[in-house]
Amino acid sequence: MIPAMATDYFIEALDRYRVTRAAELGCAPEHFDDHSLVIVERPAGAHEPLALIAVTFGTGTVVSVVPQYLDWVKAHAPAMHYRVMFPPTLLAPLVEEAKSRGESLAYRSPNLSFLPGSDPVAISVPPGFAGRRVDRGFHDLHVDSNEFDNALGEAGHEYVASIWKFGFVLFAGDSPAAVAGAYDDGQGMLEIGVDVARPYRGLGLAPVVVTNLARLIADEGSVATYYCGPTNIRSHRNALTCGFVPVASAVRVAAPGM
Amino acid sequence: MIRTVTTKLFRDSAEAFKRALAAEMGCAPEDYQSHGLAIVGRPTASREPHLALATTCGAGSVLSVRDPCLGDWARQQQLNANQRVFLPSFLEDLAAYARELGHEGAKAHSASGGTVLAADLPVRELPPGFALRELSLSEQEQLRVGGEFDNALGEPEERRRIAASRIAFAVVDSTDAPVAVTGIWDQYPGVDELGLDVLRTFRGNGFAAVLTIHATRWIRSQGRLPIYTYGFTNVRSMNNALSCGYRPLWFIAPVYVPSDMTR
Repeated sequence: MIPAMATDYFIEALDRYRVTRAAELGCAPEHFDDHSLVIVERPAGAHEPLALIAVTFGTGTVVSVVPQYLDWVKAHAPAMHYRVMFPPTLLAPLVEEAKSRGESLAYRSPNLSFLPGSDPVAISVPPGFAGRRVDRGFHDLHVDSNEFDNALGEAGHEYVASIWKFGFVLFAGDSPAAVAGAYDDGQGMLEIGVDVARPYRGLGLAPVVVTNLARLIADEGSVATYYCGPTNIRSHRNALTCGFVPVASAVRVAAPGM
Repeated sequence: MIRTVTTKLFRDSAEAFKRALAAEMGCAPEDYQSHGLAIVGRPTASREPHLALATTCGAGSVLSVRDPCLGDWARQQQLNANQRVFLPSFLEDLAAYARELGHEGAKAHSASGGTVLAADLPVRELPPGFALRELSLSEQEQLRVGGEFDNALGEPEERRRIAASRIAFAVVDSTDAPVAVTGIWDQYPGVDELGLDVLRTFRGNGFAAVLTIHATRWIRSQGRLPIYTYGFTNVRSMNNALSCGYRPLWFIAPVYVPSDMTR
């Protein structure tokens, strides 16, 4: 889906994202354009450790599933492609099927994917704060507090820690007030996670750290991605305020804790 | 494209819609500002036929139930965070309990996002060879049977929604055949919702935005509040709403008895 007033930057970013997602799913980018359901085997080199992932860019839906459940998913897929995204239709029955095979799987609530609608523009750091890029040292110092778990990952989560790359922080004195972190999201894509420390919420700091990090990501030649759960209206509105545009939706099934 | 959501129009629309939504759910508008979960009984005057509705405007969540037993059940669940009422597993379990209570066929439905207007956009021109006109009631009936415009006009068995219909407009081609349709219905007191369909072969021409903006301006000319909703994975519809000046405000997930929806 390309918005009516799409910029060249957005079109290029979307093309790159589609290619990255297609590689992750094991399909061709053109499969996203169908108005049908495409079911493919999860490629051996997939980035995310999942049993199943389904993605739509608003037209067709692609399901990528590990070999041991491929035939089952093909046999139980709904006629209308978009119904794959509704948990009771396919995901919950898949979890039950896994249980009957002695395996444990869980599905997650769907999320929305966003890309920058244009070349990112950093919002100025407000008076009273200092903003700067941070690297692994900051991550390691603060990850165990879990105060910035969207931006830094949860304590003890090795996989998430391994894909964390760098961040942008607003400091109030020596204390981090708002943190945005960038995670590897496939070739040439970096996902932004953001947290604002409770005493500093309501000051409009989230868009400042997100847009500054998006700018840093663009300066490195990568494209920023942003995700939120559909119930997280505040995060959705933050994405829009930061100039991001919704492009896709995904659901995932994985072993618990992955 | 406007970026910020905090226009005066958005704030006014959001406040008005929250009041209307709260009245339908049976809660106070302030419940949507809290960071808690409010479990409330549905007022008898509410237009919402669903057995249970979970709603949020981004902070607190509200679970509105028609059967008090469902509220009692929900209070007993170990929900560590208010937004967990939207978890598919919670809604499926709620539906299962509703069936145990005798609500035959109760099931969870996929969730929807809702938007209100943040920018009043000017009308858009149609490409040569196309025109926009109102559809008569008999035309609406004929098109409804065809099933190609079910978002705009409702399905034939959706009697409640059809009864609430206020007007419909179509983009027609040079033979006067509708290729895109928007329908407007009286959703809540003072609130009109619009639905939209574009025939697949005519997509990509901007007809959705032309109709959405036309419908929005018509609703506002009637002194009413326009709203636009979409299925949570419907990225195309979401982007159409954004390009027409709407911004996300709420999220809603129902548990329902199918026969309740067609009365």
